[in-house]
Parts: sequence; C-alpha cells; structure tokens
Amino acid sequence: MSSFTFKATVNGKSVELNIATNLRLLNLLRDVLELTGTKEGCGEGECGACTVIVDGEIVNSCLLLAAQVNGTEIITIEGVANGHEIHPIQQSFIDKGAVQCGYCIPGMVLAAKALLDKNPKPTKEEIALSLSGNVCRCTGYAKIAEAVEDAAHKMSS
Amino acid sequence: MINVGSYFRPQTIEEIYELLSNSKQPTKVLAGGTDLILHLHKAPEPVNIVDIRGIDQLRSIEEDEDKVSFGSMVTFNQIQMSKIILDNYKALAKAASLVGSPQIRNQGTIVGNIANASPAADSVPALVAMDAEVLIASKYGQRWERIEDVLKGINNISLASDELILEVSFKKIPGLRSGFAKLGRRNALAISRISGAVGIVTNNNFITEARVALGAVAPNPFRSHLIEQALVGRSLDEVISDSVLEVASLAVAEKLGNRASAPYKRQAIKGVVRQALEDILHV
Repeated sequence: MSSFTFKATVNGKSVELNIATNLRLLNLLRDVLELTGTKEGCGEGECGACTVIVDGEIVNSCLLLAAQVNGTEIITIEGVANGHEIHPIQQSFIDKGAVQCGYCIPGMVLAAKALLDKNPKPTKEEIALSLSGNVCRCTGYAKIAEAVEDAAHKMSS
Repeated sequence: MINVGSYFRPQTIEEIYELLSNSKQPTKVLAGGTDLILHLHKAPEPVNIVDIRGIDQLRSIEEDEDKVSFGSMVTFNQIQMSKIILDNYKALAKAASLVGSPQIRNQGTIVGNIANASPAADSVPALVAMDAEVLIASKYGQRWERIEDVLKGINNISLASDELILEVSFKKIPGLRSGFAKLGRRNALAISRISGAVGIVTNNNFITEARVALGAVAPNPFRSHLIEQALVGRSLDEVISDSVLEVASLAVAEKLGNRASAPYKRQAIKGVVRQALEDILHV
C-alpha cells in the first residue's frame, strides 16, 4: 500500500489530501471527509446505495479507488441542497412519501438529479431506467418514481 | 480490504508499456474497474495498478470505409449512445445498454468486459458475431487477434503480463441489420443466463448472410454456424419459426451436454433468439 495525493472538487469545494492507494472513493467520502450520506449497501456495485455523481455521471463509489477520480467534480447527497434550501427533488421525495428507512435515498436522489440535469422532461420509462441501478427494499419503487416525475414537472415549469 | 500496492496514472501509451514490462510485482491495467476492484478484494498480495484513464486516444470511437474501432477506455454508455455504433452495428449498442446498471455503464469498459473473460460478458457475443479483433500491445510490438481466439475459458484470456488491449475493431457489413437479447434473472443489475447477438443481411426479403453468437452457454461466447446456416435463405416473413428456434436449441444442447443448466437453457435459448430476431424486425 502506498500513498497518493488526492485533489478533486467535492460538493463545490476543493479537497487535497494524502490518501492510501487502496482507499475506495466510498471510504474517502465517509471516513475521511465525514460525508456519511453515501452508504455502503453491498460493496459490489449491485445496489446503488453508494451512488455519487462524478463529472455529471452517476457511478458506484464502492467500485472506484479515490485515485481514479482525482481531478474530477464529485457531488454527494450533501451537495444537492443549497445550504438550508432543499432541492426540488428532495422536496418531491418528501411530498410523495418516497422515503421509508432512507438507506437507498441518497443514491436515488443523485440518480434522479443526474437524469433531470440532462433530461428535464423524462418519460416514465426513462425515469425507471435512470433508477434501475438503485435497489430499495422498503417502498416498492412506485412513490420514488412518482417523486422524480413530480420533481421534473416542478423543475421544468 | 482492497489489496493495492502502487498506483500509476501514465500519460502516454509508452509509459504504460514501461510500467507493465518493468514491474517486478503483480501489475494490472485498470480501465473502468467494475470487475478489477472486486478481484482486488481477494488478491493475496498487493497489486500495482496502471490506470489508463489519462490517455485520451483510448476514449475514441472511429470509423472508416471498412471498419469501426474504439479504444480501451470506451465505456458501455459511450457505445450505447454512439452514432457510429448505432449506424453500423446496433446489436453492440443494445448489448452495452443491457449491462449492469447506469452506474456500471458509466464506469465499465467494453475492453474490460472482454479482458475479464466472463462466460456471461454481454458485449462479447455481439463482438464475436462480427469476428471482432483486439489490438494487443506491449513494449515489444503489437498484433491483432480475433476475440474468439484469445478467450481461453472461464475468466481466461491469453494476454501476457506485460501486454494490454488498446483497441477493438470489426469490419463493417453493408446492409447489416442486427439485434441482441439477454435473459437475466431481472431486468437490470443482472448477469446473463443466456444472451444472443444476431445480424442479418437481406436481399428481396430473403436472408443472404447471417451472424449469430451466443453468450453464457459455453465457457466463452461463440459464433454458432449451425444457427447461421438455419437462417440463410429464409424469408423474413417466416424467420421466427419453430424450425429456426429448434436449431438454436440443438446448438445449445451440443454445447451444454449433461450440464445441470442444459434442460433450462435448451428451451430458454428459443426465447432469446426469438427476441433478438424481433429486435431486428422491430416486432
């Protein structure tokens, strides 16, 4: 194990740290930067609970070495709200009853954000596809999909 | 814990060659990492990582008159969205679009899919159907090899420790219409239980040339000349027929012999080939 100088932008702020080469992005976020909104559900890229946005695209942070995303712009769930002003997507999740235990939600919100940032008027199918890498054990997905639809309507009007 | 030794991010291909040939410790090329990172969890000793994401020329998808080619950092998502791929060989775009999840597709690469050599790799049947080749390179030279020839069994690809794949290429087939179907336990985040790529060229509604490759049947995806021959000469109006699907069933039975999965896959292949043909005919 060697060390590496990590430099990137996380939620709009520059970060520069010495890290171990074997540090996963997930652990950089949770353990080093104390951004614990990103969750480890499976550790193998099969559940999406660890989803973050890197340079505009969603990825599983459990499958990335922090070193791989050196020099990129990373957004975690903590970076979605604007200070105390929550994002319309977050409000829709609340309004539509899309949150139960909450474990899948950061990943779901980020997947929704990545979708709506690129495609402000998605079809139901496009919404389902965009969330297809995020597993939820509580809700049965219907309210989550409705929340994304709701957010899309709000944001595009 | 992930067993990583040193991490390198070379800026040129020559640097990659040097790192691979000079290393005295186990060294792996890292493209996307969706497979490699998981292997590193189980690595018995530290592995040095050569991350090739810094080399821009490996991210391009190109075509000329005769062929299509793309580099080893090209992701599933890029292939899925590429006009060059969609115009020349839809089945590959379709296969790429069905891998894993959006997150996996943003990070994972086609070349990683090939190099990991899983029997269920989804992009590989699509590539093998077209006799696609890979450019294998090291400090000592480069050579093109057919993908079907370098895959040597489950998770086994014939690549020396100082070699890497730089590019994939396949020859265009004018007039080709193609489709791909995958059968998994669920609609996303699923490993294929069977997959099939089908390409056809037609003249006056009759099939004059066919390319068929199956995945997750044999240790590596393979071209099925049996099914191809059953398609040639057929009219499009009756290509989705019991006789064609029976041949698909026979092709699978031949490969699987007495394996436990044989009774299931001999039947399921009919649905997969049907869906691949429907994908072409937009049924």
